[in-house]
Amino acid sequence: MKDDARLIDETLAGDRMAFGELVRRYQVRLFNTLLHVVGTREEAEDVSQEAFVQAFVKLDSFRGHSAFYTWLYRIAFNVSVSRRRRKRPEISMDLHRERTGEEPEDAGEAPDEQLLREEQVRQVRAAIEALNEEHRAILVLREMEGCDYETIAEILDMPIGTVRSRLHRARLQLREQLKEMLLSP
Amino acid sequence: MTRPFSDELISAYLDGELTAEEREFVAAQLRDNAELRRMCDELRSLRATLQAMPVAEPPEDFAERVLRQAERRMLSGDGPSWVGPSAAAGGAISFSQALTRKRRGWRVAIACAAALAASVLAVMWWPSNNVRDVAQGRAGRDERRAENEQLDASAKSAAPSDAPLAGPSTDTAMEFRAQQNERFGAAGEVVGEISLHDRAYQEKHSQDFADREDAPPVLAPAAPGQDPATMPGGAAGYGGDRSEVRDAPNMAGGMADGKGGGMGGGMGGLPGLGTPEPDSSRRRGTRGESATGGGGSLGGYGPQRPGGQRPNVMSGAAGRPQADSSPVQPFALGAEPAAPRESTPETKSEANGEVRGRGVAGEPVMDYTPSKGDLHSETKEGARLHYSVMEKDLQEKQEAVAKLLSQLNEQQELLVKVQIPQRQLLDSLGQLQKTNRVDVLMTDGRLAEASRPLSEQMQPDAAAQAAPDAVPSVQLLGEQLLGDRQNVLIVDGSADDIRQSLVDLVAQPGIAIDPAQREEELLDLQVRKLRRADDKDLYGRAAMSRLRQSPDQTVGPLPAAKDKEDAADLKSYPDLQAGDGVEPGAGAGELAGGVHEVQPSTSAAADKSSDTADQEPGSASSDVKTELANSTKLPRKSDPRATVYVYFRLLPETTQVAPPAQVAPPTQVESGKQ
Repeated sequence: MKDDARLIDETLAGDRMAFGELVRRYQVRLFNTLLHVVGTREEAEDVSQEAFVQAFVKLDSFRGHSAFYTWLYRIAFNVSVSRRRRKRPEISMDLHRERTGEEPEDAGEAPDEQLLREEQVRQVRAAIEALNEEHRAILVLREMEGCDYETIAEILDMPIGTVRSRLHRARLQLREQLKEMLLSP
Repeated sequence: MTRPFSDELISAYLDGELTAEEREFVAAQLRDNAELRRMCDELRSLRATLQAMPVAEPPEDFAERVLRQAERRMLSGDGPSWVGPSAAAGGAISFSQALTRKRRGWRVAIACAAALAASVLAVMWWPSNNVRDVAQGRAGRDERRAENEQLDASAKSAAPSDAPLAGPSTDTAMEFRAQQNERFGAAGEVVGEISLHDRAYQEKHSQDFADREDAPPVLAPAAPGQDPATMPGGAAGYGGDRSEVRDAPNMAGGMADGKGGGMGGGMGGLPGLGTPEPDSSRRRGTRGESATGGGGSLGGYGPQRPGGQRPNVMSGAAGRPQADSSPVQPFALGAEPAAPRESTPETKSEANGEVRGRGVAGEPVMDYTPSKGDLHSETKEGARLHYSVMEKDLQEKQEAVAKLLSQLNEQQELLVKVQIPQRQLLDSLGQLQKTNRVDVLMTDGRLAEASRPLSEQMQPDAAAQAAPDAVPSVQLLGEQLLGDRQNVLIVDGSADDIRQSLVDLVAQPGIAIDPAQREEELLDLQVRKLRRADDKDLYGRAAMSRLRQSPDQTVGPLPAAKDKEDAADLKSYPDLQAGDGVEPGAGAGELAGGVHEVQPSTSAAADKSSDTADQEPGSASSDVKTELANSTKLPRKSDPRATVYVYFRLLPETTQVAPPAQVAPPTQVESGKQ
């Protein structure tokens, strides 16, 4: 299997199919991450698609100092932020309603094969959604993507120290949100 | 070590992001502090919960969608700056290379220009992302046409421009741009991103550019300190808005293969770049030449068209009276049948010459020597280039769009035959209507609509009343299009909107746009006749009913053929004569003159100047009819593809014309968008 660098080189050399492979390599991860961050499946699709396209367009500017997907994620988060700004009027509550009413078709199993009940999933999602965008992003990147602080710092363009403190705050917040859900039957 | 304990250390501890020392410190804290332990546990559990969330999958065709979208970006001018050897003109030729080629002949120069234009020129000199604002010098149509006369088959790389970047020859550049804008106005915008060139200007200034001392030998190679992210790979100093960079590749893209040296002109602005030899330029500048040269496929319409050559609808002849003296702008692509083929590999290879690998940004490849026919090359970094099927497709698409836009630019109208898979017909056309702010008029074969100027269509009249649903809903569109009808959509829009419509159409999977088919000629003929008819309404009604091919339609009178050619044409196009189910003789009594569709033999004696009428009359007519019937690809219900003729018409510009030859700041340009 070709590594990212090889696929990138091939893409830049003109082989667009190589980029297709890159996309397939990261699409699920990126989509999932975005799904948790942006909330709706539709938006996650749009953002991730746009992120890949932008990555394609700027591919020559990828210096290889970081992992490709870090760079890609950064693009994706930028895209989601700018889209969010444009759609400002949408309130979190609406999103919440929209989301809880529309469950994404979950196709896969949880990473550790310990599936949550549907209701739990809904609650967790709602809890995540209740966080502010930044907390949401940092939490998802850390807990779901397994990114280390340095990577998160790069993706979200913030100092590592900030990553640490915000992550902790995000966790506490989420904990608060979920406490009731977890504690109540 | 003593330090205030911060809760967040717990998080970091959980994440393994502490130093050994810190870890120990926290561990000690945890041992002694139950509350901290509880927090730690809760956070751990939280993590487990989050990680237990189900994984959702993106749509199955996600990757394809991405690639398609990327392709659309390239087609519409927002493509990548690195531009591979694909249609995006593989704009990877270094400036210096282009310069050295300037004496090698305009075709080569054009190839370079193409490559360069894409990645370099637009970048350096047109860094603005106000492509739309440029519309400077929006000459009136007539003015533009007049100028177009001098233009050759070359594509015009009218990259709408803004203030030049720190480019050399600023004055020249600006002047060039101003002229471009003035020349092409809205169309210039349209085509600017598809790399059409101003041949005339290049001609005019070729020597100037060639001799300019201040011509930069190399397009500002990226200073080491420059942010690579803003440098188009391999392209030289780009300091402008990155968005413009993306325009570049597409500019050249469309003309990547530099057929007929289309690219040369646009590069004229660059000092010494791609300067075609004035001789050859001029030679190609004449209408007759180009027409002869085979440019007819795109532009050779009108009195000038070479004998025996079919009137080509694509040349915008649609609707243009034969007698129209406005010169036909021979179009570069295919102007010389042999040439394009020849230059294609050159262009490609040259374009490939400097395809960059990653990280080359800003460093022009100085050591590449393209050779004719060489489709592969190595970049400085050694990456091999190769073509994939998609590259070729994309290139063809870009070329197609460039061709079409050039036609539109020249003729202010454009007729294309589009074959759309039926299942996506509604979507494709609905898209046309909804997103591109163009007015789509459905004629359902009623070419009378197509023949009438937009202003007339706004006013109801007899003919219009026969076509009450001139502006159909998408639903109606679908109903009418699905079926055996020769359907014509009239799309009126600004240059940008039409450009985008074309891009959207071309970029769709499974869609085929064919500018030069017999069917088009048929339509062209019909439309032309309609326009030419003295009594448009009368003729329109007649044609309308015939074309509708409805048994219960009254066939109106068909005015006499105006000339022999007309007669022959009529004869040779049975569809014009009698549609299915239409009683051919219905209007016979009202016909004046000897031309009537049902009596082909009458006009048999007529001159067979029509290309299809090269057979004996009488007996031949039926052969022609059969032949035509067999070849006519009218959409049939069983045909998985629907054929739609789309007739694009440029809306009149509303912006003012910038003074010519004025080194004008870009801000003075008004957007030509409607």
